[in-house]
Amino acid sequence: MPIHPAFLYFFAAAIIPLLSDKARKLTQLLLPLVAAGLLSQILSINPETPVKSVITVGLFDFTLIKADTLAIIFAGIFILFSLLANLYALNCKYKYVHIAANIYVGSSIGAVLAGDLVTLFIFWEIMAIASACLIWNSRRPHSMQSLYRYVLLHGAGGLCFFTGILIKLIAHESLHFGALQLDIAGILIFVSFAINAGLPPVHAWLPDAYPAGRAEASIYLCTFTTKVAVYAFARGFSGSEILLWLGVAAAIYGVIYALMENDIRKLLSYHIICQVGYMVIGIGLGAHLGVNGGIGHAIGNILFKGLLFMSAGAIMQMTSHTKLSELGGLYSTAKWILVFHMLGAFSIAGLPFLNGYVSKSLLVAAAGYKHLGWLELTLMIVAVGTFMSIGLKLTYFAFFHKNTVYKQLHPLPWNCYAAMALTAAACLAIGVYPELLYRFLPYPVKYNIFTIGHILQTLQMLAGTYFGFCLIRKFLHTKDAITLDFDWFYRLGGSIFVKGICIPLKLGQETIQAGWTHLIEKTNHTFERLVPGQKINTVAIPLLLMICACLFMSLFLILRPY
Amino acid sequence: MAKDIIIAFLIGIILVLSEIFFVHPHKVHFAWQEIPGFYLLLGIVGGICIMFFAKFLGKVFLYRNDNYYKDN
Repeated sequence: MPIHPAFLYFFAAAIIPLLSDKARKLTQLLLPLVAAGLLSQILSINPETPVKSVITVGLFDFTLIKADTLAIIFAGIFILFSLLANLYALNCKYKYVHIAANIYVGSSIGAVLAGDLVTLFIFWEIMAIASACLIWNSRRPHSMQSLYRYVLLHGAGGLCFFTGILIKLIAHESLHFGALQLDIAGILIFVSFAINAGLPPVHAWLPDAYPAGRAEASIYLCTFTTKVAVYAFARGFSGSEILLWLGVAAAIYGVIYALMENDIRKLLSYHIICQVGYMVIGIGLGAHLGVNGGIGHAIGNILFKGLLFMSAGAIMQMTSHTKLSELGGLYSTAKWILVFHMLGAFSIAGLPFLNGYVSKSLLVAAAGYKHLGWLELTLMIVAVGTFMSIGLKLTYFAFFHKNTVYKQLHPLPWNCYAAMALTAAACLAIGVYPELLYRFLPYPVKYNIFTIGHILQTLQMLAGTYFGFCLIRKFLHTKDAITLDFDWFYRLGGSIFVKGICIPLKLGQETIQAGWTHLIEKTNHTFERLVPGQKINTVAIPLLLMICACLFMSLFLILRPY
Repeated sequence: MAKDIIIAFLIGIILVLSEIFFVHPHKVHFAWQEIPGFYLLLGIVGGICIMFFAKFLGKVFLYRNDNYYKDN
């Protein structure tokens, strides 16, 4: 039986507290390499049968490893990204970040390799707990409240998932994780996937929680939870039409909120929602081209969104600011960060020869083959909005706008630059040579994306956006404000519920209780006068009354005339 | 400022011209893909519209003070 890569990460998390700083750094860098070795070992045993590892506990068989194409590509990119993120976070001196990150990465790999719903659920929940630990940030007191809200939403999602599994178990249905039907159990599982994927209207935890943690923690957070959910959708609900609509809603919603946002990490978080929308659209379209596009975009997105979060984290570490209204003029002091940020921004916007183009072209082509003209235009407009918000607005206000004088510009350690350079190189490599990505996709790709027409169209679109931005630039100002989102319902809506309903109920209950106590005291007083020296405690009388009431009720029920 | 606009405009013109000269008529999925410069226009109009729509939505409906949740 092969060693499961997830347990390797768990083992590393367990020994990190015992290690010295140097040994910890070495472990963090070697761990993904060993895990990649284990993954290739899993692949090489017997390519005919995907099921590799089954553990029987009691009556239930846990399929820990089911390594088909879909699982392997996600496990592979998770391991690769964990190397890049570990490199970025190498000098982070908080050990809890490394421990939580290792458990988080391990459980994500475990979730994508899981062959049945129960194993998936177990890794899913470990993932939720580990990611919650990453949100905690001692420097930002409000991160604790974000963490509570995160746990609340993910707890609800986990309960939906668990109920779905129980319903399936009672109905004696198979718990094998394959294509699922949208029956009651299926809908519950779908809802829990949607919460993790951050699809509107259950997305508000994402821009709330991801910008709360430390810079290094955000890099881990932006990658795993949503992509595991995309994987789960691809396996369970590929081709279901509702995904297409939810994806369109997520893409538009995410891009519009991103344009309004002032905090750079929050802006990028809204773009996760937007890009997950793209992936879900591909999975909802369902044909080979659509699923390939969706999965390809998930893989590409891990790299370019990771790069963008790394550069945002670098800005945050250097200046201690994250709001666009407080930033500016960084182009002279942080040239390399500008370069890496622009590579990420051009990738996400889909510039030819970078990796966003490689997967977005498949999605646009999938919409074309299905003759969905409106979808093609929507994807294009969302791409325009994406370039507008990340490539132009963020870049302009953080790097070129007014010359902000920073009190202190902290130097960035070498490892952060190395991690950004490697991630950017990966984006460029896939963009120039898409076969690197396409050979791992579930279906063979025969579509040629590098036609001169398509390249020129994309370039025109980006140039047009730039021209538009230049025209309206002088009207744009950053606004130090927050935007209302669906979390209003459980942040303020919840407090309205408490103030309007719970507090009056509590007051009513207190009034009744006070009256009751008063009544009992009075009765006691009378009783004491009748039988001196005898005292009845406050519990006895209500108990006596209750017993009497029960007796009368039962007598009435027995003796009532029929 | 004006220099940027001129540069962006020139890039756009070059791209549209190269589309007219180098892209031969091919099988297209939608009618608008045959119009030269359609995507340039989409970028300009779509970009400006989506930006102002977002700002408008924020101003009339969604922007709140930074301490909104703390004060309530």
